[in-house]
Amino acid sequence: MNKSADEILSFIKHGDYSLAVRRTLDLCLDSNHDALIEKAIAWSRAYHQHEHAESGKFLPDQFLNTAESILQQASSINVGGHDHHRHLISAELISKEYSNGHFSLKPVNLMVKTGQVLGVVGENGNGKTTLLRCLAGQLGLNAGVINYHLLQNPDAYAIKNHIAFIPQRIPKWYGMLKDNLHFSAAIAGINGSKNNLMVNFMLERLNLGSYAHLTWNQISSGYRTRFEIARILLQKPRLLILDEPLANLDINAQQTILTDLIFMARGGHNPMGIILSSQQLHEVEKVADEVIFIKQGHCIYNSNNAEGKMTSNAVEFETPADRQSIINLFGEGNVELQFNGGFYTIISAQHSSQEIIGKMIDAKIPMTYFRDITYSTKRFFNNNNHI
Amino acid sequence: MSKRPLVPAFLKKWDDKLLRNKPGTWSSRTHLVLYFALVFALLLFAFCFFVFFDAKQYSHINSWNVFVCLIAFVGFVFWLIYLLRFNVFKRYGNWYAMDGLKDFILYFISIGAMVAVCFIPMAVETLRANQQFGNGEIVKDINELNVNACKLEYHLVPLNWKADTCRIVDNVNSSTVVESDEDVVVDSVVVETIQNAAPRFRIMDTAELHSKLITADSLLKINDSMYVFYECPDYRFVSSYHADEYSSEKLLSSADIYNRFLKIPQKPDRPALLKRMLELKTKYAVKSPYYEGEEYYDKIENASYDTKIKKKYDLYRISNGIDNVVQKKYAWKMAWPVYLRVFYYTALLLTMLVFIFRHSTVKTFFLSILTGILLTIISALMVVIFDGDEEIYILSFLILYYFVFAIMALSIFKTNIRKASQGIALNLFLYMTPFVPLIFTALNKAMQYRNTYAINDYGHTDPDTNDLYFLIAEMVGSVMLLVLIQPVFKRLYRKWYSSPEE
Repeated sequence: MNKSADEILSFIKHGDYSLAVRRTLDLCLDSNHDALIEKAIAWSRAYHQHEHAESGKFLPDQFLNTAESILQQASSINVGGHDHHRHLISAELISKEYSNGHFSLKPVNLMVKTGQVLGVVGENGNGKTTLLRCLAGQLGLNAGVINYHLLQNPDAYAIKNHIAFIPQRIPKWYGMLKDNLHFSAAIAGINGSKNNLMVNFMLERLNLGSYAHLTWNQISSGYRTRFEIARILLQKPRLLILDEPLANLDINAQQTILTDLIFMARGGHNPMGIILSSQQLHEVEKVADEVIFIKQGHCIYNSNNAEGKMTSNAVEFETPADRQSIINLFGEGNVELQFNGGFYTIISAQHSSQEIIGKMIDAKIPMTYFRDITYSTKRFFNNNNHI
Repeated sequence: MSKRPLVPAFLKKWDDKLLRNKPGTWSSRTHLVLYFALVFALLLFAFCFFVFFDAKQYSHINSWNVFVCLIAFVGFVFWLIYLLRFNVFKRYGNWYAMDGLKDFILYFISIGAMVAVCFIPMAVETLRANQQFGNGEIVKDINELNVNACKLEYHLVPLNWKADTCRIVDNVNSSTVVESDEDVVVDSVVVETIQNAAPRFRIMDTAELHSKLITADSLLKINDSMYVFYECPDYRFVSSYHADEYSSEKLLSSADIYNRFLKIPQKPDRPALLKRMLELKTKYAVKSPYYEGEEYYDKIENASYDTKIKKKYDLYRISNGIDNVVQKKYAWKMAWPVYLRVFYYTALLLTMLVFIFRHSTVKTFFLSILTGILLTIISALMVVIFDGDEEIYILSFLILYYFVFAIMALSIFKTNIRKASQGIALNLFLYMTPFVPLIFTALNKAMQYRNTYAINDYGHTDPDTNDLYFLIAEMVGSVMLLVLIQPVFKRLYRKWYSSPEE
C-alpha cells in the first residue's frame, strides 16, 4: 500500500472514520477508475447510513474489510504525475479605482500555483472582495496585468470558464439541488454515466447525499455554501476563488470544508489553486500557503515575506489575572501589553513567544487560551500594532 | 429524476438523459414545452370539436382566440420563469460551434408550439364546417333556394329586363364629366348622361365596354359604337361571397335562373317545393338573423318582391347561416398568408426577446426595451416637428438607428470592459436585423411612390410585384438573422457578457 493508503488505515485504526472516508474517496478519485470510485461511493453511503442510524456504535467488520480492499485496489493503480506547482495566475501591480472615487485598491502583486492556497484577510470594507473580483475577471483593472498561465490568448469567457468565483452572497439556485449539480457537470463536459458518477461522488464527498433531492429554500445557509462548492468543483475550475466561504459554516464545518478543499486542490483529479478571503484568521492561516493582509486598499503584509522580518514576537491569551500582575511578571517597559476587552496581547522584542508563555506558566498565571500570533495577521487587527 | 407529476415516465427519462448529455438542449426545455403544448392542443382540439357542432351559427372565434392566447401567454410566462432557469452561457459552460443557432432554433420551436396552439380553435371551426357542409353542397342548396323561391313566387317576381343603351367612345377625357367632389375613381366608369335626348343613352369608354361585355346578362350590338345592354332582374335572394370559389358547382346567375326556369314557366309541385324550402331552412337558418330588418319591411305595404320573398321564406336567417358556414369553411383558404405571418412574427419577436434575455444582463435587457420605446417617441416627435413625409422619415430613422446600433455593437470586439450602452446597442442590433431588408424595401417603395406622385403617374404599380418584393425582403431578413446569429451575435454576446464590469 502507498503512503496515502497507510495514512487512511491509521485514521480508521484510531476511529477517525469520517476523515478516513473522505480521504478514501479522494484517493479513489485520483485513481480515475470508475468502478473503484463507485465502490468507494457505496462504501461511503454505507458509512453515512450507519452513522445516522446507529450513532456511537462500532462499525461492523465488513466495513473495515471493504475499506482495506478499496485501499489496496487504489494503491495498486498507478496514478500519473500530479500537475502541481504550475503557475496558475500572477497579478502584477494590479489596481482598481471605482468611478465614484470612494475606494481604490492600491497596486498588488501576487502569484498562485496549482495546489497552493492564498488567504486574503483584512477588515471589512478594505478591498478584499474588490481584489478577488479583479482576479476573477469580474472587475476591470485601472492598472496592472493579470496573467493566466495555463491559457493561451484567452478571452474573458475562457477566463471565466477557467476560474470559479464563489461570492459571499451565493445567488439562489432554482429547481432540485441534484439537477443543478448534474447540469454543472454537464456544461463542463462531464456527460453520460460519468456525470452520474461525479455528482454522486461530490454528494458523498461533501456529505450532501441526504439533501440532494431538496430545493434551495429547504436547506440552511451552511449547506448552501457546501452545495455551491460542490457545484463549482464539478465544473473543474483550475483556480477557485472564494469570498468569505466560512461565514455561514459552523466551527466543525469550517475546518472540514477547508481541509476538503485543500485535499481536492492538491489531489490528482483536478489540481487547482485556491484564493480565499475570510475573517476566520486562524482557520485560514492554518491551511493557507500564503496569507496577505489588505488594509484600506493596501497590501500591507504577505506571510511569505514576513519570515525573519518580524521585529517583535506576539502572544495572544485570555486570563482572569489583572493587567498589573502580568506587567510585573515581565518588568515594566520590557513588553507591550494590549487588552481589547476579551484577550490580552503581549508584544515583546526581547522574549520569544515560547519564553513569554513559559514565564506565565511558571508564574502560575491562569490561562484559558493562548496563541502565538507572531506571524499571524491577527496582529494587524489590533489597534496600534506593527510588525 | 424530475418530480413533475404531469410528465410521463418516458419524458422524465428523456429529460434526465438530456440533462446529463445535452445541457444546452435540456435547459431550453423544448421537449417539455412540446409535450405540454401537444397535450393542451389535443384537449383543446377535443373540446372545440364538441363545442363547434353547429357550423351555421355565428362564430365566437374571437373570444376563443383571446381565451386560448391568454392560456398560451400564461404558459409562456411559466416557461420563462420556471423552466428557463438554467443557462449554459451565463454559467460560462463549454462552448460549442453552433450553440447560438441551436439555442435560437430551440426557443423558436418552443415559442412556435405555444403560438400554434392559439390557432387550434380556428382550425377546428374550419374542420367542423367542412365536415358538416361540402363545397358543392352549399352551392347546390343556394341555387335550389333561389330557384324554388322563384318558382313558388312566379307571380311576384318581375320578368322584364332593364335595357341600357350606350355609345362607345375611344377617348376617356373627351367625354368625361366628373364633379370635383364626386368620389369616383378617375379611370373607371365614365358617365355622361344625356338627360334630354330621346332615346336616352349614355357614353361608355372602351374600358367599361370590356368589362360590361363580360358581366352583362345580354346585349344587342346595334353597330360598332352603339350597344344595348340588358340586365336581368335579381333572382338571387340567397347568395354568399366566395361560396362557389372553391367548388366545381357554380352559383346560378339571375339570367341563368330566368332562362332555365322562368322564361318558359311550368306549374310547380308546390307542396314538394315548400317541404324542401322548410328542410333547407332547418339546415341553414341561424337562431336569429344578423339583419334585424323584418320589423321595418313589415310596415311597408309596397315592399319590393325581394323583401317579400325573403321574409316569407325566412331567407335572411338562411342567408346568415350560409354566410357563417362559408366564412368558417374557407377562413384558412382565404387568409392563410395572414395567419402564417401572425404565427411567424409572433414567434420570431418573442424568440428574439428570449434569446436576448438569455444572453444579456437583466438590467441591460430592460434598458434595451426602454431605449426602443424612447427612440420611437423621439422619432415620432421629430416627424411631427419637421412635418415631412411621415413614412420616409420614420423608415430613414430606423435605418439610421440600425447602423448606429451595429457600429456600437461591433465596437464590443475592441473593448475589454462590459458597458451597458454597448449591451443595449447589441440587443437592438439583433432585434432589428430581420426587419432591415423590409425597412429598405418599404423605403424604396415609399420613395418611388413619392416620385410618381410628383409627376402624377399612378399607372405603374403592380401589387403582385410589390408583394413579391416584400416577401423576398421578409425571407432575406430571416435568413440574415440565422446566418449572423452564430458568427456575429453569439460572439458579440460572449465577448460582452464575460468582460469585466467597469
